[in-house]
Amino acid sequence: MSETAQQIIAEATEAGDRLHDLDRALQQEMDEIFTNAVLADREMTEAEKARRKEIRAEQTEIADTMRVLKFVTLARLNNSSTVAGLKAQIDDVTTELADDLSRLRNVARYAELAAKITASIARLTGKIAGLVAGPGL
Amino acid sequence: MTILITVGGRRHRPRGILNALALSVPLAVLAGCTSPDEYSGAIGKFSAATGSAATSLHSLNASVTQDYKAFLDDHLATNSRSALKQTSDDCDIKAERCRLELISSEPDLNGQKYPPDPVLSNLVAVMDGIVLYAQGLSDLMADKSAEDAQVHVNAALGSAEALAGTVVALKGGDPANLPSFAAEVGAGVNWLAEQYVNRVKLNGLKHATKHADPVIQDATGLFATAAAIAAEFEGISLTEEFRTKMVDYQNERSSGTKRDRAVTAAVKLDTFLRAKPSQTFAKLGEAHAALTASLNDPEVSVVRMLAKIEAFVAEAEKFKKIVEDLISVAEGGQGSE
Repeated sequence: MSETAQQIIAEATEAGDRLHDLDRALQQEMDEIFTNAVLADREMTEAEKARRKEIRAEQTEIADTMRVLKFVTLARLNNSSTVAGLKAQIDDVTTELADDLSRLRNVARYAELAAKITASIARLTGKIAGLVAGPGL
Repeated sequence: MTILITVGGRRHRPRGILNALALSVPLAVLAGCTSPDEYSGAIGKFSAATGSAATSLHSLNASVTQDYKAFLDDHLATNSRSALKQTSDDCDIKAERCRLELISSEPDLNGQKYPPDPVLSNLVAVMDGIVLYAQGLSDLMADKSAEDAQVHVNAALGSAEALAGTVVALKGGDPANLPSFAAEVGAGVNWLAEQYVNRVKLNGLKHATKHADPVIQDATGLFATAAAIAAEFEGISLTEEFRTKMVDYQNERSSGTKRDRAVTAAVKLDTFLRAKPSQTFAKLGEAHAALTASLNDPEVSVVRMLAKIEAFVAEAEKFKKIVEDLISVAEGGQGSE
């Protein structure tokens, strides 16, 4: 049985939050190294630069993992039972609307029929008028 | 029974013939019914904005899928412990498909399809269903059956009246003495046909919107989530670009060029972060809820419904621009700031 959108979103949010927390912790360390150097009125040492380079590499790995997580989440959502159900339901509504349109288009037919009846009655009226007017004139 | 009908501001007292005609038109005479014309413009706008949002979703689908393929290409090119293989049971003469997938030392990437399938294909199909539904509402409003019916009625009654005159003349009478009935009877029949059409239109609208609203609310909630995830996917590149430029500048603070590049990257990322693509779908949901409420609850004002639809129209335009900018950034452009 395919998963529901709710399950997929809950799992993806949890995994995404963990990655995000890790990324933020790394970024904080990057910022601290740089801020301490600026406030001490000095350039960053080679060791600090090397550590920051390591952090950047880790962040890039996290970014790649996030890309995969987001793409896979979208693919799972796309194939979820929720999406399949929504498609079927919206198709139902659209079909009903098409039926309403067909009913409306029958109005012209009904009116044509009504007009034919009118014409028949009118012909009869004309005959009666003729019969009434004829002998008297 | 005597019926008094108001046509074009004038009250008519139709004759018995009209009562007979009323039986041939399958309708109930309505009183105090809202006119579909009140909704026609709003539904047209709703339909157009839905179409625009769907087009943007198609573009986002293509862009995210293409970018993910580029990401996989990069992974294959730079990681010696990754390659493509055929999917199990595919690619032989008895197989139905020939598809490829990744072998990778990265567990997340191992088994990923290559090239990736369009990632939002089913969601886009739901959105296309909503577009068809909105177009159906619009078609219902634009239907000209009442006008078509009037043409038939007027033509038939005109010829009937002429025929009656001829009969009188043949009998040697004066057709001028024949009381005219075409205009009066025609007006009555046409009024009835119009009321029937309006009733079908309004009932159709009420029923369809009420039935569709829970689906639209669920779908828009899902689209909002998917659009946010897709935008975040595209935004990862912008974050990476900003961080690289920032590290370059911080490693060499005296460089004005590097500082400018970092600032430009920050502005680009800021523009992206402030754009909220999910808002479009939230507004679509709100607009549809307002339309449904306005049709089904006389206490809900049409003005409020129109305001919600206008808000959705504006968001659909914004969404179009956000997606264009995302695609531009993904293709290496600057986007518009």
